[in-house]
Amino acid sequence: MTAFRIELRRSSALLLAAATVVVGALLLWLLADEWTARWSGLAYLMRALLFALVPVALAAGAWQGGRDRRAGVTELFGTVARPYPQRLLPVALAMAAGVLVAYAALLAGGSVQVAPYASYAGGQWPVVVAVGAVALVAAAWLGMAVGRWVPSVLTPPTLLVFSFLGQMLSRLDNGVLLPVLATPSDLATVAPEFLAAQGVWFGGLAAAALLLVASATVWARALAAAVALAAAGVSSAVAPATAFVVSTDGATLVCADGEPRVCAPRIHAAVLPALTEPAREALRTLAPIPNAPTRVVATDLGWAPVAPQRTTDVLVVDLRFRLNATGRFEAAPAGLRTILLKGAGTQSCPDPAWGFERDVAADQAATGWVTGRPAGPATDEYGRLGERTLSELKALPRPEQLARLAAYRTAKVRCDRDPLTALTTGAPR
Amino acid sequence: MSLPEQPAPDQAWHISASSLTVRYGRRIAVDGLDLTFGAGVHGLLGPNGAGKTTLMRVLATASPATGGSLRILGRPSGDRHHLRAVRRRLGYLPQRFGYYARFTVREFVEYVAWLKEMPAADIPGAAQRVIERVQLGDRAGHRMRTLSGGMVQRVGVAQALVNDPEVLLLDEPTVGLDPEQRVHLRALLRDVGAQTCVIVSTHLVEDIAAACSDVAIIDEGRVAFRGSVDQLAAAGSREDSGDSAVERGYTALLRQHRTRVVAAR
Amino acid sequence: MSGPGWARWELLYLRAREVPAAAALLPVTMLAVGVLANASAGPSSTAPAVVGVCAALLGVAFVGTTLGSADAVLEHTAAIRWWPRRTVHLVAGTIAVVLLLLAVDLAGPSLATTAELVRNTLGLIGVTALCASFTGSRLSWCPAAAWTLLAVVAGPRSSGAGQVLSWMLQPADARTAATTAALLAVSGAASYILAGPAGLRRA
Repeated sequence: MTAFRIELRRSSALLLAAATVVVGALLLWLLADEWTARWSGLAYLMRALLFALVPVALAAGAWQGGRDRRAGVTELFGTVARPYPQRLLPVALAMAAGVLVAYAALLAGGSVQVAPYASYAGGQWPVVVAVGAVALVAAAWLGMAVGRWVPSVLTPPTLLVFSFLGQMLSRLDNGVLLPVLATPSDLATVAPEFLAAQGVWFGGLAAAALLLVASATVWARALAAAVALAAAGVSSAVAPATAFVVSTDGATLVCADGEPRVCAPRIHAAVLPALTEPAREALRTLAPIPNAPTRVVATDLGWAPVAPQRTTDVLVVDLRFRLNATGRFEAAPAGLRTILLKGAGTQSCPDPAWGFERDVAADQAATGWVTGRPAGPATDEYGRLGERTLSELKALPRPEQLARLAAYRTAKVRCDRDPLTALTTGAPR
Repeated sequence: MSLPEQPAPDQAWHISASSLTVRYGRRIAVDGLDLTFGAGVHGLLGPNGAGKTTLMRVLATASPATGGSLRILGRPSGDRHHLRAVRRRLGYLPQRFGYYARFTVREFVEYVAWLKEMPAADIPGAAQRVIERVQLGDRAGHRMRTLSGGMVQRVGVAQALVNDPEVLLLDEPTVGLDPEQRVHLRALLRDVGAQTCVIVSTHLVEDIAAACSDVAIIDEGRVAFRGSVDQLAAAGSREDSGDSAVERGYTALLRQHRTRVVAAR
Repeated sequence: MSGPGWARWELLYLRAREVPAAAALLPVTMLAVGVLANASAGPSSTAPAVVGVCAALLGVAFVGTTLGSADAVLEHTAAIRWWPRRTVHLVAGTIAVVLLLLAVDLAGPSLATTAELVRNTLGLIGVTALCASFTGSRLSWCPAAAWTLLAVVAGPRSSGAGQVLSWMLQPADARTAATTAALLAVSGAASYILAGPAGLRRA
């Protein structure tokens, strides 16, 4: 206890804690718009911070590990009764305490941003953060081991730069052995098996590093290497192929009261109050079209596993890049109406054989028909094409106009036919 | 591997060495020493490179002997079984005293006390006592990095004393001390030496004269002289170089020893 | 200035700053950076710039550790004109880092334009020299490292303040970034050359 109390104040633990808080807080602030109002968003950001925090912990650990050699105490402390491992334990614990308190402080700071706005508290986000914390402790201890082994002033910067570069250049996307964990979607959750595998790996690595820090014999070092290898092997073996699965809780649709139905994933339920009225108005606007949508679903179209079935019944609102830091729509109600009515309530086709430009022209024409405004900026060839298509469409008898729009919507949903042709010629006969 | 039963600790001597030898590669630093030390303050004198520091390191269990036998506090020094118990009763100030500059004086002394496995409850009191004993009471809360060389050296003495050692080994303890501090340290050593075996390695003859009850002169790893300070002072004559009787005795004894060694070859 | 005596003095100066170790290891680590970059060269366009900045940081950190001596306090009292010595030290270190960066850039994958490499080295060494003059040399690279980590993880920004923040990731013709680097280099060099490294004793 004597030694732990002293080391807490005099080792590099305070330096490590200060560096972690400063770098982490600045990053939280700089990346503020990337983790809107969701606990899981904060959790994955806490893991993204490890890009910078793991190198910092390694460097601080290495600096601490070189202390005995720099201070020249090896001879004196080689004559004391207390065995080496016991001597090193307090400083290792102090370093771990320093980095853990700092990481917890960052989480607390982030919570202040999330707590007032998060509509959904479920999920396993605390475990995601906890595994990150274990990774940080492992990094600090590993740094101590390296610093003890190579007690040079050059060791900390070398470790920092190479660990950082290694992480940045690693092409293993969401590898089980990497500290950083990036979510593909708000509606995804990391597979529990994957998280468990990461826990095994970082826990094993921390144990091995501690063994290495306190080792006085070759056997202890060999044991440490064996523990690290075993942890890596086990976690690689048990980790599932895909790190992320659909979050059954967070992705479940919750709907606003009343009809027609307007729904959003539970994790984004905060969008519903602002969305419901413009959405119902959009459904009423589209209603004259024979295959008009009958309900509205907000979702994240960026991740294939949660993409809704393409059907004319549903008007899909993509939430990507449209929410602000409080989890609400960034756009005003008028802007929301534009979003909802774009392409007469359809989504783009992925990789269309007829080219994006014809898609765009058709969308502009359809949007213009629905909103009653010009098709769009007629500044390029396709803008002018859209404008021309719209005026041709409007010249037709109204039932034919509606039939053409229905054909266009069908083409957009099935993605099997050029929507511009559908708009100009109607349904295939 | 079971160790042979050891005879009861020989209480007569704190340290007894016979044919003690230390080799570094082909160089022999300590060459078949026979020495015993009991309670009292013992001076270890000799020219630079005579093997004093090597001998101190071996006595402090910092490095192993390569030949002969050494018993510290009645236990064979190679006996790993009892090493830890012996080390709890040792105090050591190395020639190059390293310290953690970020620690305060009190923290450093308490840390060393903890390393010597003192009971946690005794540590704060013991640290305070030795810090006052080396007259650093007013500096106890200062960081080590802010101390002058002489103060650092006194912290070195304090950390060696903190566990009330039965064997206290001080390698060049008066380096960097001003005359007043040096006088104080000698008095402190005489005081400690009443019950404890204190071995002071030095190349300053006047330290020996003032603080020690007896002297061993080491030259090229061998004992050139062993006896009381009075005997040392009596050994010199007018013709020998030196400013004091003790210095003249030192040069005379060293010269006689070297003549004997040359004759023996 | 007698030949052998002068050379011996310089050797002592360099040894006190642990220059030989840094000088010997810097090319090795730079080579390792090049190999790492080569092994992971991909279609991603940001990767080479990041490698370039990190390599510059590594070089600057090595130079930074040599900016002071264990006996800084003692040296302050020595009756020698220190500022020419410090100037040569800083300039030589910077040139060495730039040359090594160019060598890695030429031999391996293209990291950045020469102008960017020079700008990044100058700016980072400025931050490091500034820190060395306030807190000593051994950890003088820490602020430069923290800044680099922040900028790379947060990504390049285009707003005014963002350009200052991520100056080392901006294209060569970005005025704000170049100005930031120049200010850092000048203030850091001036502070270090005039004031010298802060006194620093043992760990």
